[in-house]
This record gives sequence, C-alpha cells and structure tokens, in this order.
Amino acid sequence: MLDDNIIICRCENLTLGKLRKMLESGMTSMQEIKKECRCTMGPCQGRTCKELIAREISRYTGVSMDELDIPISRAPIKPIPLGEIAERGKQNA
Amino acid sequence: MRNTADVVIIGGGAAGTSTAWHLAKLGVKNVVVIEQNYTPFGGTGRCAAMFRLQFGSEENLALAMLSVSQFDTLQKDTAFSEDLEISKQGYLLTAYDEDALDDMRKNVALQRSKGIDSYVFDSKQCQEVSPYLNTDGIMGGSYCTGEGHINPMRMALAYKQAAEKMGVEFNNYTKVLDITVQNGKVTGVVTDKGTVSTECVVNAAGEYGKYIGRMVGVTIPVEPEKHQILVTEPLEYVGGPMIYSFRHRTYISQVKHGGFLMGWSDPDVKRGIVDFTPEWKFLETMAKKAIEQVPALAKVRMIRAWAGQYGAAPDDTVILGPVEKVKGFICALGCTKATMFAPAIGTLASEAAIGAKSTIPLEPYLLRRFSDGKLVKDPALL
Repeated sequence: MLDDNIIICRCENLTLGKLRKMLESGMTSMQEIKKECRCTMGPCQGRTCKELIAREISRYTGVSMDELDIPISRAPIKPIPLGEIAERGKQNA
Repeated sequence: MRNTADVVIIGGGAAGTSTAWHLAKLGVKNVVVIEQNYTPFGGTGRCAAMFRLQFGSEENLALAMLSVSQFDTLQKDTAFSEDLEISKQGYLLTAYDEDALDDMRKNVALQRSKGIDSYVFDSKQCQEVSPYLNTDGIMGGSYCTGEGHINPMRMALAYKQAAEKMGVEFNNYTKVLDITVQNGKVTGVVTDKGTVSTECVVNAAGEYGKYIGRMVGVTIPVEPEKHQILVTEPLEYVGGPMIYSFRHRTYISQVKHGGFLMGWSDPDVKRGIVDFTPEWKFLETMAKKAIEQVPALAKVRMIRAWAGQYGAAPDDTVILGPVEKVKGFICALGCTKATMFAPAIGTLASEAAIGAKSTIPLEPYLLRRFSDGKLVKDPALL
C-alpha cells in the first residue's frame, strides 16, 4: 500500500507497513509488538506513537482500544542526563 | 484452548518458550503454553540482557557453556525475522582489592580448565578493553569475550514463534488456578479459560514458581526479589565489555541497539514481595555509581527505568527436572538466570519431561538438593 512507508514510531523507525505485517503474522498483543520492535520505548516514551499504534491494532482486530493491552508510560516524562540525577542526589544528602 | 495436551508449560518467558521449542524439536506433538500476561512479561522482558561464562562453579559453567553453544546458531535455528542482537563483548569484572582479585584468579583458573578463554587483568589492561572506565582504585579484573548480550525480548519471541510454527499452542492472558493430582500423578491444569488434561506439567513460572509448586503441595524455595534497571538514549555503538562491579553492586553496558543498560542491587531489598514500582532512590544511587565508574555517562540522558523480580533461590542456581513427590511435575526455573541459561533450561527440562537421556547430568539442579543440603556454591555471583 502507498502508506506502508509512513513512520508510525519516530524513535524506533517503525513503519505502518511493518506494523501491518506483524499484525498479519498473528501478533495482535501490543505488548508483544512492543517487545519485538521497541516501539513506545524510545526517548518519546510513546507520547507520539502509542495512540497511533493502538488505533491500527484496533482497526485490524476489531477490538476496541479500551480493551487492548496498551503498555504503561514510564518515568521520566522527558529524558534527564545522569549527571543531573546524581547532582540532585547530592543536594538531598 | 485445547482441552488435552502431552505437556502443559506454565510460563511464557525465556524458560517456558525455550522448553516449548525444544519439546517440539524432540517431536512432542501437543504442547500447550499458559502465560498469565504475554511473552515476555516477567523477568525475561525486564532483565539486563546479558549471558555470561565467567562463573565460579562447575554447575553454572556447564549450563553457561551449553547455552552459549546454542546462542551461536539461535538466529538461524529459529529463523526469526528480527536481529537477536547477540554480541560477545564480554564482561569485565572489576576488583578494587587484593582479596577480590584473588577470588577472580581462582575463578579464571576453573574457567580455563573447562576451555573458557577468560583472563585476569591488571588495571592497565582493564583500561585497554574499556577506554571510558575510571580505573582509580581498580587493582585489576577478569575478562572474557565468549559472553555478552542478547535481546531477551526477541529471544523469547523467537522461541515462541518458531514453536508455534511446529504446532505449539500459546495462550496469553490466561491464569493457572490449580493443578490436579491423582494418586501422586499430575492429571490436568485448571485455568480461568478452561481445563487441560495432561500427565505432564512444566513449571516455568520464574519468580512465581513457588505459587505453582503450592498447587501440587511442593515447596519451592524461590522468592520474588525486586531489581531495577535504567536505560539511556541510544548512542553510537562503541562496544566494549559490560562493567560488572562487586564493589558498587552494579553493572553497566551498552547494548547493540545503542542504549546503556545499568542496574544496581539494593542490599536492603526485601525478598518475597512482587513490586513493579520504579524508585527515585534507585535512579539517584545508580546515576552516582555509574558516573563514578564511567564519568562520560554524566552527559548521557536516561529515558526509562523499570522494575522486575528475580526469582531468587537460596543458592541462586536453576531448579530443573522432576520432583519425586509428584509424577509428571517438572521444574524449569531459571532463578535469576532464565535468559542467559534459556537454551540449557529448555534442553534439560524438555528431556526430563519426556524421560529422555539428559544432555548434562541433572542431579546438581534438582529441587531435592535443598532438602539434601547440597546447594551449589558459586563465588562469582553478586
């Protein structure tokens, strides 16, 4: 399809075509899709891609987005340099 | 879900998926895997992604060598579509005092007697293999290149997808409620999605292994123990060994994908509690200890942190094979090493399940060793 080259997860370069292939192979757990291609695990932590991927899975399986195994968002909200974390620790000491 | 099976495997992590694949390879036609969440939800998907050869006991060395030999051909054997990201950059175990270095000399001597290419290094040699390492206070270390990284999430999915192609049935989001036993023999597995009758159950439930044991009246001394890891943004892959420090209770390594994975073992962690909450205390301690060892990491940004559980056994060694009290109940518990020993666990548990000759003697890994007082002693564990 024409839109197969659309990048759906920018951090890990997952394309719509690749996602569709995974779905067609029988992989419909969003958690397993994440574990295979790292989508939602990059610097954006899924803020850009999570809804888009869930919507595609929902479209393919006919299961409502509410019922999908959408991964949780993890701390931190934005990437932090290790040096800043260590400094914050020193202030607390 | 099928209502009858030759073998039911409880757990879809590294141990369970590997056992399923090995059973299918041995020609067992009807294998059913029950997983409470997805592959790999538990320790496998949350671990440090390493496999290791530098052990200090014959028992762990045998499992490590069997596993590494299978990792070498796993990509081809499973025909997995994605890169398993196996890279043998080794571990560099650092020593900050003469006693620690002495222990390493003994371990390396044992490893070399088995044909493992490990070395005792002075601090200058440590710096050569790990140019970003701060060697202040380091007396030396031990190093080996036959070990390294594997992507554990993909490894479990590779085993799963290859096993599925050979007819294994995987059931995600299915909870085991009970195991039925009659006259000392397993007769079936009761789940929230139905009952499977079977004469053989493999307990590959990792950190949940003791709960499965209770269902058949068997005490398994495996306790969940929380451990946390953080990962940084991916940077250009520079390679080099994992830096493993007994002094700091930490490990730091860059995976092939580019991120630096690091973990710290909190000495105050409480065994027996399943807890997936990441803590600030971990981030702060880990960041300080990482920068102390690799100052360049101060400028690198962490992107996520998570918690998983070790399935900790009293001797931190696998529990494999049959259990005397209940016929047809087989253990396949990695006890903190399910990823790195997945090939060996799958090989030995599948052989035990069908009563085939064991590739390596099972005796040291049996559950019975705890009541017999024959624990594995490995001085090379953190």
